[in-house]
Amino acid sequence: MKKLILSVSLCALALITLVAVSKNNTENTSPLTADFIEGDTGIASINALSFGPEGILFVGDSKNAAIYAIDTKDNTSKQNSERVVLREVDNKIAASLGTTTDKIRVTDMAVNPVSKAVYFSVNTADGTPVILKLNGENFENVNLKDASYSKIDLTNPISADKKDRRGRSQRASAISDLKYHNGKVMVTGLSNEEFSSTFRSMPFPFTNAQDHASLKIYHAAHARFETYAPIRTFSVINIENKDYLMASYTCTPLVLFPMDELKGGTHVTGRTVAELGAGNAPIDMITFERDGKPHFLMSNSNRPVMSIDYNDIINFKSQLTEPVKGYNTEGVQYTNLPMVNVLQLDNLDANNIVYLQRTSGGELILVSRPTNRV
Amino acid sequence: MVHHTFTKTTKVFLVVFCFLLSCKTENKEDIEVIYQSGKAVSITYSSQLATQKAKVFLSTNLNTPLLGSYNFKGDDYTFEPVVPFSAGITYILKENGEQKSSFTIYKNDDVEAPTLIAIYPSTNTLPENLLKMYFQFSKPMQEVGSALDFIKVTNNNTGKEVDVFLELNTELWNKEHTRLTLWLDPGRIKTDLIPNKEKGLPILKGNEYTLTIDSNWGDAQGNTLGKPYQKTFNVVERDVKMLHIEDWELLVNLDVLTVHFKEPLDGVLASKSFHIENSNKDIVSGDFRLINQEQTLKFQPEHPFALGEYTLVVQSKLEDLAGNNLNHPFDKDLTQTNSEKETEFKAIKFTVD
Repeated sequence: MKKLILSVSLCALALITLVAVSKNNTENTSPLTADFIEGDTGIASINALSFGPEGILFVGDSKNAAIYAIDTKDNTSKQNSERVVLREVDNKIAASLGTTTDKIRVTDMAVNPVSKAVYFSVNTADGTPVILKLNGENFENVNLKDASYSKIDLTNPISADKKDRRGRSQRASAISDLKYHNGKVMVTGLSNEEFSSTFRSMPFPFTNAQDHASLKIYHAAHARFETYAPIRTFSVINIENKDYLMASYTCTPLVLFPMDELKGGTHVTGRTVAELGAGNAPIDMITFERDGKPHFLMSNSNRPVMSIDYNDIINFKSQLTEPVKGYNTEGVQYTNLPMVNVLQLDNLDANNIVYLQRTSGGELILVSRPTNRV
Repeated sequence: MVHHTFTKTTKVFLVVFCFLLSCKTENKEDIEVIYQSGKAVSITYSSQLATQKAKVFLSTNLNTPLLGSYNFKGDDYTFEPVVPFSAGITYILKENGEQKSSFTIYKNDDVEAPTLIAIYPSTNTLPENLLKMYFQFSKPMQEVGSALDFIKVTNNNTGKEVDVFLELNTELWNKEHTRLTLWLDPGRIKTDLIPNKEKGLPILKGNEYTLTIDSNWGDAQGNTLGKPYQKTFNVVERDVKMLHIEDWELLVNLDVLTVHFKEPLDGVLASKSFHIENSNKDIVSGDFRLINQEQTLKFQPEHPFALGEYTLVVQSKLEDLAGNNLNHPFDKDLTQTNSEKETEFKAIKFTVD
């Protein structure tokens, strides 16, 4: 009898332990990372970075034509960031990677909205892709060979019918920008073969589902000509309870596309709301809240950072169809900020932005700036 | 007196120098550089030389240690940097501020220099609205810097260097990083677009241009092309016509199908846009080959064609040199209604008899 009681007690104890362990596991597993796997991500190149919730970092890999979601486990919440000033960023990155500045290139920068840590993707001459996290004045390597991650291939919409699939070659696509918004990862890219520009969106956690659309803009006199020009950077803007993709192109039209129409492989024509000047290419676009409304900043290759007010965008109801003369600009108003040669730009926290800038002396610096000063 | 002091100083310097030299030589043997596929991927050193607290630094920057992982196995420590060590650079192993040893990664001179195998289009007569060029290299090229720093275009009629290609943040390479695609700014090619009005066409009819590829362009291993490459071409009138398969000429016998396009097509797209089906809709296996400056396609079936009906299927995204494809011309006039239906594929039937 004693034996039986002991056995039952042991069983009960084991059961309690099991329940406790499994309960513990459940508590530690977020539904967002439930299907993540551990191991070598196999990332071959990094063209774009963007953070989602819970410290999940999205990585756009053009070589593998795939998007990766990496659990950085960097999810200790921090409300406000300290002021950021880091000098000689390229020298520090090169030294951390054991090489010289001509052998590296910073391809993107993203701030983890949870921990406020700044992350950089770096291309190296031999092609090894690297993600670095800034910790104080030093960089840490984000291990891509042993990570918790999930992945989705950027495939063409291919019919399940085998016969229909033949003859379609896999398109290579260079990823130009990547953003997470409302449970979806959005990606823009262009082909390295035929002339086309695509927009894709996919729910996260990744499933087999992904949607795509090709975007057209009228960029010309009398709306006569169309172009499949590549989007350089984009953001999302909500106008009258409807989300729009706000995309910026080379030379530098700003175009709105209704998000709910960007699906099913349709050709969608956008509404050009601004021409922000010829001889220029946009680099990054960010948004932050000002007076309860979103406010936009855009960095550029050949112009200063532009500040664009939400009201100016929503109040511009028409679209530009006439060519803009010379280097003039048209449409939505903007303010040029005293911030030039800004190569990377992101939100640092609710009240600050952070940017990578080449100074007039040639130094690459990382600095933060309060949003009330932009 | 001055001379005497100088000699004395030199002697002391030489002794110190020799001492340092011998130290270095000894220490070099303490560190073994491990190579994998020509890359210096890690080092190992004895636990007698240093502990796992030692860090590796660039000899030119002793403040920032290299990132990587340290492992202990047997009596040896291994350090694997995040990025393989670079050729031509000297590294220092330091522990508690004390230099333990140094090592230099030497350049492997046995490795063949990269070459530029081809530039497409291979013809030297190009339309004024040429849309893109491809550069095919023998090896993966470097993934930093800007490709446009190594490519120069000169208008031979004016003797001036001209700005022809579109600069993109993300360069367009194939997966292997051996083929670069450069667009001639599409905004400048399309009639009446702002860049077209501002800067005009990138290349002009009646002019001759020379494209020069710099000899200093390096591959992923750090080896340079070693010699410049050039291509001289003449520019002729715009090509505004959409591609029509009806214009192509097909010649077939039991061993080969020849398709004459009657104009050069995009070499990369043309090499992957075709397949052949028999009357049962099965794919006929064989090899496609582009010849005659991408104006002719040859298909050699694995086994001679059986007599009967076949279909040559082509993806409509196939383009000519000016970006006109099988669905529409590149510079499409939206006021003109296109009676032809846009389809993903076009097909031409042929008979082997």
